[in-house]
Amino acid sequence: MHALSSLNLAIDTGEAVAFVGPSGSGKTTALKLITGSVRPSRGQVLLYSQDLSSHSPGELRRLRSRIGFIHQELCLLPHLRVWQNILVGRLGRHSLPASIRNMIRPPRKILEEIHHILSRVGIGEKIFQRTHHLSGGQQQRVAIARALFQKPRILLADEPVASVDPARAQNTVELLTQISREQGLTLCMSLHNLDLARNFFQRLIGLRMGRIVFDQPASTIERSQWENLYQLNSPQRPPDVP
Amino acid sequence: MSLDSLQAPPSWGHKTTCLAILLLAAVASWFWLELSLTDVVPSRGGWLVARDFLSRALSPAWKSEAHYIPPGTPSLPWIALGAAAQTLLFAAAAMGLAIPLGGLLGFLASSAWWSDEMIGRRNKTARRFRQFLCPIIWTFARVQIALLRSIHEILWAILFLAALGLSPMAAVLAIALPFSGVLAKIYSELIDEAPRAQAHALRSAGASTPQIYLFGLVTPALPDMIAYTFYRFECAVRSSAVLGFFGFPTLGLYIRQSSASLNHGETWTYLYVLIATILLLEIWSGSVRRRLLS
Repeated sequence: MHALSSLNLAIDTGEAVAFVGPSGSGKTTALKLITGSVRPSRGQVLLYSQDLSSHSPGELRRLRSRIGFIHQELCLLPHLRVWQNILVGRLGRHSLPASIRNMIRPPRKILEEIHHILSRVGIGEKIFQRTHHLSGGQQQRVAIARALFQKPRILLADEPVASVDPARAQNTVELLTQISREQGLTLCMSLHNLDLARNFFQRLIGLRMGRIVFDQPASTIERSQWENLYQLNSPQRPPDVP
Repeated sequence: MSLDSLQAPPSWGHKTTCLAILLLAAVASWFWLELSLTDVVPSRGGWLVARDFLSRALSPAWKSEAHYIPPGTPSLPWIALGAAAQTLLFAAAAMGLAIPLGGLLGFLASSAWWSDEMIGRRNKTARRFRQFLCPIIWTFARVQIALLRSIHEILWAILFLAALGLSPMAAVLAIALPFSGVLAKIYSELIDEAPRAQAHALRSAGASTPQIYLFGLVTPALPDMIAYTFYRFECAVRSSAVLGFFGFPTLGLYIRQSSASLNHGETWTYLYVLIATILLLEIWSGSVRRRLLS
C-alpha cells in the first residue's frame, strides 16, 4: 500500500501550487516528500536539481531550515511565549547552546525581527503573551510567523484552514499567497476548500488515492473533473464543490 | 451493515478479569493475615495513653515541659521553628541531589530519545548505535531506576547510618537516592508521553536531534515535570521529618524525644509545626503548579 504512486510533477521557483483532493489522497505525504521527512520507496525527489536522498543529515537539516512548514495541527509549544515559538523556527541555523541562550535571553535585534513579522501577520502586540492564551486564529498566525521567521525559500502549508471559519480561512490563504508573492517564495498548500484553491492559486493539482487526477491552471478545470476527484456519486460529498 | 453482522466486544474481557483477580487477592490477604475490625479497638492501657495524648491536642505547650532545662536553652517555639528549618534544609539538600540524578537517569531511560525518529537510521554509525548501544544504555538506566526506587528511604537511612554514622550526608543520601529513582521514572514517562507533533515540526524546520529532544519533547513535558518535582519536595520534607526518629536533628527527633518523655503538649507543638510547614509548602507549590499547568 503506497500513499502516492506514479507522482511526476515539477514545481518552478516562485510558483504557487495547491494540492486538492479528498482525505487520504496523499496531499500531506506530497508535502512531506518535499522536506525529506518522508522518503520515497521508489523514484527521486529533486530540490533545486539535487536528489534529496543523496544529502547527508547535515545537508538535509540546512535545506529544511529554509523550508517553512505550516502544519495542520500548528505544532506550537503552548506554554512558551509567542516570541519563543517564533524563535523555534530558526533552530536549524543555530547550535544547541546558542538556541538555549536565545530562548532565555534573546538579542534585541532578533526580538525586533520577530515583532516585525508578527506585525506583518497582524498580531504584533501579542509578542510577549503565552501562546495558549491566544485564540485559535491568533495561534494560526503564530504558526505562519514561525514559518516566515525561517526566511524560507519554500513555504509549505498543510491544510492551514481546515478548522477555521470561512472568513478567517479566506484571510489566511490570502495572507500566505500575498506574502509568498511579495517575497518570491515557492508556495505549496494542501486544501479542502475548492473555492479558495480556485480563487488564490493559478495551478491546482488534484490527487485521488495517491495519483494525480489533474494538474492544470485553475481556470481550465471543469465541473466533471471536480466531480471525478471527489467521486460525487459516493456518499462522501465535499461541502463546497463549485 | 446491520448491527447483528458487527462483532460486539465480550462483556467479560481481559480488564474485568484483572480487576476481579485484584479484588480476590485483597479479600484473600485479609483472611491470610487474620485481620478483624475489632483489632482497631485499643486495650484499656492503650485507651489511657491515647486519652492523655489527645487531651493535649487543643493545648499544645508554649514552654518546655522537661523537668530540667539547661540554662541558655531557647524557648520551645524557637526550638520547633529551628527544627522545621532543619527539616526543610535536609529536604532541599536531598532534592538538590535527586533532581540532577533523576534528570540524567530519566533522560537515559526515555524511549523517545533512543527511538529511530530521534537517532535516525541514515548512516551506518547511527544504525549500529541504535541496534547495539541504545538497548544496553536504556536497560542499564531502567535497572538503576528500579534499584533506587525499590529500597525505601528508611532502609537507605539504616544503610548509610551504618556506613557514614549520624552525619547529615547520611540523611541527605537516604532521601536523595530513592527520590532520584522516582523522579527519573516519572520524568522519562512524561517525556515519552509528550505529543510528538512538535518534535516532527522541529525536524521539518531543520532542528538537530538534541534541539528536537530539548525543545520538542522536554519543553512540552516541562510544566508537568516541575509540578511533579514540587510534589516530591513535599514528600522529601515528610521523609526528612521521619528521619529525625533515627537521630537526625529534624522535627522527627523532637517528636520522638517529647513523646518518649510523655510530654504530650510538646509533641503536639512539634506536630503542629510539621503540619503548618507541610501546609505552607502545599499552598506555595500548589500555586506554582496551577500557574504552570493553567
